[in-house]
Amino acid sequence: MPDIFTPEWYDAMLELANSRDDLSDKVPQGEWRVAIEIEGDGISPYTPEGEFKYFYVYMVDGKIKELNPCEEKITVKGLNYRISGPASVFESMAAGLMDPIEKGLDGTLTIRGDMRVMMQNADLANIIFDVFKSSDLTDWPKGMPPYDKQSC
Amino acid sequence: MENTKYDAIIIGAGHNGMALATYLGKSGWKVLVLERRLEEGGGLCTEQYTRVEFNHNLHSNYHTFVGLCPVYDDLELVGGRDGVSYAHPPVQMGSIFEDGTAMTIHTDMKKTHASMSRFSKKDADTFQRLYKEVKGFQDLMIGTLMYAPPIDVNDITKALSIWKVEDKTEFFRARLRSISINDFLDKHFEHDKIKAMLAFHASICGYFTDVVGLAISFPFMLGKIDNWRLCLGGAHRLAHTLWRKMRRYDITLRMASPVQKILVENGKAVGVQTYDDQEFYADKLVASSIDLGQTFNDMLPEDAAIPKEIQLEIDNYQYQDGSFFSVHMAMDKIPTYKAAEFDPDINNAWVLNLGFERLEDFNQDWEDIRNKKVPANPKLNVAVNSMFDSTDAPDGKATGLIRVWVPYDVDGKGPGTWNTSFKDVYTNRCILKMEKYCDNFTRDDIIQAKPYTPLDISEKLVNMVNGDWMMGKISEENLMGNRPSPLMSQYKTPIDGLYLCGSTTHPHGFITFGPAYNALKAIAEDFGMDRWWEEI
Amino acid sequence: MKKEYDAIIIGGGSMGLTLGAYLQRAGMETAIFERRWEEGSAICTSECTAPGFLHNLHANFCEFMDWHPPYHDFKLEELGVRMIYPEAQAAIGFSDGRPPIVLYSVEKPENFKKTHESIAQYSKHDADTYVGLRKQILELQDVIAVNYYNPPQDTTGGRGDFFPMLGIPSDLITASCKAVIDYLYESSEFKTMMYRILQEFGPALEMEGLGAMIMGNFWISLNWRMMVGGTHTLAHGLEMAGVREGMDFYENCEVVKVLLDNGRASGIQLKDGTQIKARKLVASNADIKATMLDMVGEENLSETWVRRVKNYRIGYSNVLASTALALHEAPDYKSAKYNPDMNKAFYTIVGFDTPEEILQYIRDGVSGRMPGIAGAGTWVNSLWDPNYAPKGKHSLTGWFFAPKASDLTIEEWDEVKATYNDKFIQRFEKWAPNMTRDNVIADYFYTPLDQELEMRLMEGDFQNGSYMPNQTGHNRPFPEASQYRTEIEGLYLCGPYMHPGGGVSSGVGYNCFKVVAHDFGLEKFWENHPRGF
Repeated sequence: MPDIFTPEWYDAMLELANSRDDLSDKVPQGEWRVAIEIEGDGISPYTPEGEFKYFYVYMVDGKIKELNPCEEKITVKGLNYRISGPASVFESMAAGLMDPIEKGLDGTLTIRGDMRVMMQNADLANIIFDVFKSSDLTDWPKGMPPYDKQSC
Repeated sequence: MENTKYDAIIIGAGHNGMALATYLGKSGWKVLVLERRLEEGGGLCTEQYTRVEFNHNLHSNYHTFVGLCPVYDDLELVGGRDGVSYAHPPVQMGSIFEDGTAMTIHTDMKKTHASMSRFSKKDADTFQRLYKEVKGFQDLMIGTLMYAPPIDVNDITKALSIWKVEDKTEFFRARLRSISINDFLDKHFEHDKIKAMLAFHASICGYFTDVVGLAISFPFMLGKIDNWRLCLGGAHRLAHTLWRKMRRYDITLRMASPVQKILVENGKAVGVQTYDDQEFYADKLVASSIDLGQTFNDMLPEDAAIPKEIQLEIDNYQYQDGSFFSVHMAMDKIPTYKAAEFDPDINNAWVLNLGFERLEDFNQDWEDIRNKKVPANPKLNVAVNSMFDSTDAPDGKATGLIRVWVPYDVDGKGPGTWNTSFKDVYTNRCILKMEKYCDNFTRDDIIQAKPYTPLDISEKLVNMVNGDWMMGKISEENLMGNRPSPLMSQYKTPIDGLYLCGSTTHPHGFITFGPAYNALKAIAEDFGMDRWWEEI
Repeated sequence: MKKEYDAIIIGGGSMGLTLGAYLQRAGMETAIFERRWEEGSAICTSECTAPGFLHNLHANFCEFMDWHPPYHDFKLEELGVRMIYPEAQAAIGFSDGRPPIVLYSVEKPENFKKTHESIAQYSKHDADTYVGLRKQILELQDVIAVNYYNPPQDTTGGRGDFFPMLGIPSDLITASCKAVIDYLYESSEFKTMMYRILQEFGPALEMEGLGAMIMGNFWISLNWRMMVGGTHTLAHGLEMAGVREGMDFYENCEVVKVLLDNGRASGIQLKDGTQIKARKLVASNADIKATMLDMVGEENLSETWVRRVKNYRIGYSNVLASTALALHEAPDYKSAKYNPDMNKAFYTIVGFDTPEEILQYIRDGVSGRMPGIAGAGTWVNSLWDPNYAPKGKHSLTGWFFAPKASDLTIEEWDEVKATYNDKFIQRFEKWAPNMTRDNVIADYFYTPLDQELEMRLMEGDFQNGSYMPNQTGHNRPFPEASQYRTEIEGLYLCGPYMHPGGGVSSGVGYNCFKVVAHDFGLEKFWENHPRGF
């Protein structure tokens, strides 16, 4: 199993997502660009406090074409969503311990972008999070949630 | 000679028309805005209504979307070159009750909690949880539900159910669609006065609290209960700022130029003709920020192809049941209140409720208004802007505003009553009522008081039909994808190249800029514009 | 707010707007600081009676537009400034229904015939004289404009030079305007009209030494334009011209101090304490006394300047009060049965049958009381421009000659405000029987005190200082200040208390710009301009 946040992990996530027909069926046709920003919160051992991890997802007609870590804040043109939040929360979601909708509702996760498409395709959110939380896909070399001090 | 060829022509220089023009101009389009009045801004209207040197906001007084609405940022409307300044009064709102008590809403929510706790600790805690919950999803929801062309409400409720929102929040749920704001308050709160305070907030935002379905909006509204802002120098300053922005992008605003005709060729809107028979042409589009009646029935040629079902929707477009009766006052001093003994902060509160004590008081007024009766016992919204803006009155003096919900049509005889001496009688009644709550302030401290009636509203700003400053009923049948009609909710009309960008469209009136922003999105899609404003 | 500009202008009246646009165009980074929430000062239009009824409470005649430099130089028409030039320019009717006198625009040569016929009903001599003079002026008007749109050269602003050319005895230059009118005309009716028209321009009718002022009257009368949608559209146009040039504007910013650095004007201070630096100059079109005595401060002025400023006389000759009526029907004059143009003249005199009534009226005002005869010069702009009133209705605005603001107490002015329109309407009905109270939807009365408070037009003097022999031409406001400079280096004056005075002319702003351009080596574009000024 690839370690979380390693290049192999990104590849594995991409593969997994593209193997899900329910996902490619639900994603509206055309191009979709998503930026994810993970902020070190002093709890997660993977992102030092105050530092950021960025990754970029690019989908075309329901298939992910790119899923890459980036060095700096993603400013690509035509971005549809930007999802930001504390590292420990992302990792807890990956571990299946936190509900993304709940974290979105209480403001822990900041989602920017036009949510209409997500609402019109409400199942999609559930499927994406289902993919994301495939914790069995990964190893947690520095430990996994729940961490001692849990954020939020 | 004047130019006559443009990319886009916008009818009406209200805040929506001007904002859309500025976006388009900033995108490199050549834009012309035509306005029938002598001043730009529509409801952003400040005049020396009572006496010289006393500046009164005749329409828009409360700006509650500063910081929430993307237009302020995109067009740099606050601060910087040409930008306006806003005051954000620390004591935002207050209610004064007949028993001498008072409740205050602060920008500091701890203080709000403390004030409510004096009436009901349980309600204060509930309010705090509600406020915190809403803050979590406020940006996301406002971005989706106000600053985007509307989607089917059923999609929204379906999503809420699929995401099991009900299990994850205490207050927000799909079922709010089937209840009124009053129902919501009854369900979650116990104390009459706290319910009245919160219902008052909704009513000043233009929402009738007994209308089934509006509870769905109520949480979002409460999330900005601490966002009441005053445009310094008068609301009209915001309009003037927009004009200067437009001019800096080389957009022309032509005043005193009522449009009499929208020119249509081969089913496409190609320009307009003004009252003086001048013609102006638009290569790309014509956008109307005014009401449906003028746009479709008066300005479009009779042979324009408006499908029957759409014409029917236009003809049946519903306006709000009520409007505002205002008393503008030039005053010798800033009033203070007897209830300050109970809560001294009440003397510093901006948006005041004098008269609504319980939900029944609202219901009584809503019922009167629907029956075309002027409420016999006026319940007042009072605001003294001079407390926060020293430029709106001479030194040591103050301007004041009283507002009351009333019907436009009185006793089924039309609005004519508002042009009779009744308006003076009602003015006195309002002042008498206010006097009762004051400890240092009587009618003798009013240098001059002058009423501004629902009829005045529609005569001054003719697109506010029936004195309706929301420009259309606030009810489920006329919000989101139903506004102004299911077939025109995406800012387009059956006439190719004719767009809607005014408050008849989603979300509604008030200084939200939503209609302009959403029309822009529709236009950007149709014309493949580079969306520089969508930096997310 | 920026902390520094090349040029700072105190006050966004028409003269400040004019100066600003030219300075910015000439490459100076310029900002205007306006006390009120809206630019334009007296070029204002308001819905003071009822929604949808527009009233130009101050400037209504836009008579200089053929020359008005910024209108042409900044292409204000592109910025939405449009005008209407009504054919019947001025009319007087009479309470007994005698034939009216109607004067027509000078735009078309054939109009002189109509004007002549109308005056000749009462006196062929007067018709010959007036039409003869007005035609001669057409030949001379561009030369008059040169005197107007340049810093003043003599005590009459160049006006006296024209008397010999017009065949008017030179000794009348120093007589009163009344004496000139009495010399020229014989009929009571026409004199009544001329007296009243003269009064609209400022000079006191009976004041000795002002005879040459009548030239302004000859020059611009019958050249009266109306701004479509209100005179205030011109303020918008001038402001947007400035914006287009890149200028900045700040409203609700009352300037309380002109900052000095080694005796030189170096910036301004606002009421809230903010200071803004002026790298090159400060110009004020605020009231002269406030500018010099309060903002600069007596302690920074020489004894001569303090005395001169204090002695500068404001009122009584140009003090107006305005009436505004929202009407169901436009006035239908008894005299109109002889000439229907009486009902459709741009400027209509109502309430005066004889020259003596005008004299009494003016003497009342001068003596500090509202005139017993409530007559006025009136405009019903809605007759031409539908923007001025809701469909089928009309808006009327009128000017009264009034005492100075300080002649009455606030309470007395409130009383005038509440009652004088009734007096006016009662008198009006004798001239136009349909002008009953029932015809009036709503009314408003604008006092000299209102003007002082609102615009800082002190005493309600619309010229910001009387026309008196020692306050005209290069005596305006006083000899040491007449070239727009002050004794404070870098501080300029550009209010209507300078030559050539107020009005919708942009004259003071333009002339002040010329002086600034000279002092700072800016391009003197006007020197090669075909218009000659």
